[in-house]
Amino acid sequence: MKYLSFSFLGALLLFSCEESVPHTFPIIGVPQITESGDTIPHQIGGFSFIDQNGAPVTQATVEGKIYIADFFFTRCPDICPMMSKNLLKVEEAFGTQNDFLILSHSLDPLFDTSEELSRYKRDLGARSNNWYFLTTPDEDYVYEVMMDDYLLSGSATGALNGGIFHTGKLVLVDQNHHIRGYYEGTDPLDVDRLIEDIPLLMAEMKQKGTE
Amino acid sequence: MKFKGIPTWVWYTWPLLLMAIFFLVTQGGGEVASNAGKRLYEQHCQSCHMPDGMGLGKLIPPLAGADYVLQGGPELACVLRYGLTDTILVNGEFYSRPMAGLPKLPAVEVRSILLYIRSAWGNSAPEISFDEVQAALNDCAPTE
Repeated sequence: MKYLSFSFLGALLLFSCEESVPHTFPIIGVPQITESGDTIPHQIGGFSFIDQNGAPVTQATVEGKIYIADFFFTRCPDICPMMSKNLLKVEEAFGTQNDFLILSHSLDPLFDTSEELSRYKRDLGARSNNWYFLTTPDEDYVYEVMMDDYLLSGSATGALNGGIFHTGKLVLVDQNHHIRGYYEGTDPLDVDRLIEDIPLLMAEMKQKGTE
Repeated sequence: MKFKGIPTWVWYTWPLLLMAIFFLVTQGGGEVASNAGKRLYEQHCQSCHMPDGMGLGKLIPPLAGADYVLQGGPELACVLRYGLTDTILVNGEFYSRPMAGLPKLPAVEVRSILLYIRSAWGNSAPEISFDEVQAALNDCAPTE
């Protein structure tokens, strides 16, 4: 009986230890290996878009911040409304924090001008200054960024799905431009998981910053 | 073996009666239409108008509790088939983004969706008959 209670105590300790271990996020993507043998993890490269107010948004905008990137378009007939609805929940949770951003990239940038995106943001009911809706005069550019930097697939296909095939994934990016997670933007439960993960990643970044 | 009090015809036909009751409960006419309507709604409408029929901000109008749906008549069938390009007024708000139609959806399925959106989420609007739907669709068919 004595041993039994000890093993109970042990199990209890084990569990409490496990709980105190912070949640760690992988760095996603294929790392590069330099000639000297160092590994450099995959990073989001420099970018240049224009937001819903006509202002430029570059890597300088996200400097020192955690952000979510997603890809959508205003005329999207299938998954985008649900993505936008779920992102409103993320905005509600973190929209006022100055170390957090959302970048919603239009995959239909020639139609989705700054004015169109501004109307979309207003009518969606998104109010946070930290939520940027991005366009570019170069239609191919947004697809390059989506595939090469954010490692998502998609293409302008023609007839189906409003002419653009794309994914509803939300990409969580840390202050060092590393991809730390993918979440299904059309799934309310997975977006809840994202809302739980953001403060954990913020805590991890703060911890690293002070080391 | 005899069961007193149970008529003989019941004794011989009870499996049939049971099947009839089961059929009525699971396959009742209204139930079939509403199940089909729900399935079609999920397939064609839900991604924009949402599972709860609440739409999305001022981008996509609600259907739940919407005067446009509740006070509309058979002509709503035309909205489903041909979509919308005009600005419409729903519960006092203007909505001007175009809605895609479902041109290939047969009249019977258009009616199923109408019955569903007029009876789901607490909505309670009068039923629309198949003939009314068909007549409305004939009226709004594009002239060649």
